[in-house]
Amino acid sequence: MTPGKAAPRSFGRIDAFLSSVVSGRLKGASHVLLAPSSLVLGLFLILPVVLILAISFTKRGPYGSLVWSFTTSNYLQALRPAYFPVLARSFLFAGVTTLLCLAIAYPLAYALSFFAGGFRGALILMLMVPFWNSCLVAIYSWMILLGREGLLNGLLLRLGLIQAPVQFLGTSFAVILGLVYFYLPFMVLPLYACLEKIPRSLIDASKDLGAGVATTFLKVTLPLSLPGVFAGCILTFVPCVGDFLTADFLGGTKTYLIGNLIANQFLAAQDWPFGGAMAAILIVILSTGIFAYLRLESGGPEADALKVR
Amino acid sequence: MGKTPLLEISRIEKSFGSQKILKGISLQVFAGEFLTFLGPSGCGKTTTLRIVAGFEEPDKGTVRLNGEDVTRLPPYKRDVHTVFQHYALFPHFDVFENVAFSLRLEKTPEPEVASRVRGALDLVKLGGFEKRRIDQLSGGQQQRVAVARSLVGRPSLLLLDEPLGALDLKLRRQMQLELKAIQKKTGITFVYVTHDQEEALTLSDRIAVFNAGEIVQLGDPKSIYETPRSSFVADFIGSANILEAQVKLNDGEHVVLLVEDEVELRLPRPVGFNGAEGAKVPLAIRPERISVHFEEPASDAGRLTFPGALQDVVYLGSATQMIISPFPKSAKVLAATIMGKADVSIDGARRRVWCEVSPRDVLLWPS
Repeated sequence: MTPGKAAPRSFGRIDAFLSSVVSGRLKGASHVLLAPSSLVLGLFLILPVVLILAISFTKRGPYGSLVWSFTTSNYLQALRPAYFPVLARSFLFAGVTTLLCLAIAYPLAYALSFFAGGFRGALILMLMVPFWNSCLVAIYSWMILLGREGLLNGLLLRLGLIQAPVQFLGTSFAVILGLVYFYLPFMVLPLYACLEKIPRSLIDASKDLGAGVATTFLKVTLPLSLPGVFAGCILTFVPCVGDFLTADFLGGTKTYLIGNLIANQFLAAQDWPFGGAMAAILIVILSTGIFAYLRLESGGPEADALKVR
Repeated sequence: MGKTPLLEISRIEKSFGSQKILKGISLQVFAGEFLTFLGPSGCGKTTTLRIVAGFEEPDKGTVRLNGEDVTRLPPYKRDVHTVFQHYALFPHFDVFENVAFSLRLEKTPEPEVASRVRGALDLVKLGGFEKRRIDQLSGGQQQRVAVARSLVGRPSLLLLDEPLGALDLKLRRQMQLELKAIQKKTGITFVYVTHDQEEALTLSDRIAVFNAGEIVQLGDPKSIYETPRSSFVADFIGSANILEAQVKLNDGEHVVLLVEDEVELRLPRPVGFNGAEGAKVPLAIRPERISVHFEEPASDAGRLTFPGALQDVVYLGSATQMIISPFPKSAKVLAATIMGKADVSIDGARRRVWCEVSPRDVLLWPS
């Protein structure tokens, strides 16, 4: 039997299998097809979360070991008012970062989608390249730029705008600048994808019916881009709340965030149960927020717009 | 005529990159008219429409609306509305808000908005659909909403860019009649783009036939069908047997043509035909203008007859098409359409037949 003869037969079998899956005749086949992604999600998402949850109910032994006995004391400790300002600051920083990202990303994505023409691919690549860079390299670069002897201070001194070097590092400004820098692509890409999907004929139709450029934007483009705005905000806000590297390197004691607190429990303090409890609380707050938003969203006009496309 | 045309396009040229899409389009459209741009895809008809709507600026030439030069005006400053090919309805608004869009922009008072939207929806037979979401409508209903949305603002000119292209044949026929009725009822001037010649013949007061960036013929459906000005028009509007003929004799009164090197036809010289002796010219005969006989007809001086072999019989329902080969040496065949029930079955194929044509139906063109 030559391979050439064998091939059509095996393809035929695969075809038959696939068509029976699609038509739903082969019960359970869809589970088989879902298995790889379920396995990945299970191993790398569900399992770690379950582990963190389990650890958060254990006791810290001497020298940071885990004592497997059930306790809720970690949660009681984590909910002490002393930690509220850290949590509040994390949400504030993430919120400010998200708004700044949105303010920068919307015009950027809009220009990319509507005016970039043939340069679109190159521009998106330029946006992505810093993102592929090691984030440590980027953070050290920012430290050099923002330092007392750094480029920014040098430039401001040269221009005569300041008389003495300004302390940028260790301030909220530096942390938020870093966060905006790191999370900007998370805002730009979903926005761009959403704007790109708006049929241009709708914009033509709006102008045709008498709406000027600004009115067309407000009545057509903006409402239809809201799903992208929301997706971008979630994708920026959620990882931003948990970020600790940026605050670690560019911030100081006044910019201590919930991410730093959790990281320190696992690294410096060797208190995994307490860190686990903090992480679990953060997960609960964020997922409650996202679920509430999705519930709200499923009834709104933007959800309808999403369904149409 | 003395009348100012509602729309006057003069010598419009447009290139995209190095490709010249429009090579000097001139056209006048009068108030109340239903004019169709007809042509194959890529002929420039949609580009011309987009220039009239204001979405494209021509490289050269002017567009005048009611005598006013609007060539450089953006679409929102023109008293022209468009029905788009894929309707372009706003998915984030319901039917009512889609139709009310232009009224809201003009800050029309709410009671008037309500009554005018209702009127427009009644006109397209969609009363009661106000609160429907766009994705809950069928293609035909979406098309009606698009028409209502464009008509509600009472534009002086409505442009329709292949509005029925996405509908199935039956619905398309029905919508054609409804569009025509709406146009009559509202008195609004329609400029309609289509590549469907049957649609153009059904709807239009006048047809502008486009080919390769030019208007090759402009006239009412009958004159375009009966006296096409080129073999392209003859072929594109309706169907035609396009043949090649050599002029054997042209004495000003009569011409003798050798068709496909085999059949000689002698006929009175058609007006304007100036083919020189020896020249090769295109010749067209419409399938329904050929009568087919199974016995040699008595010779009639006024008619042209030539024999052929019946190759195939195609049943078309309301008509029967016969494929005849009058030129044994070439592969060229003639199609002849017999309306109604033809008394010939497929078994009759390969029989010897005689084709009869009136000289008037042999189409020839000045070169």
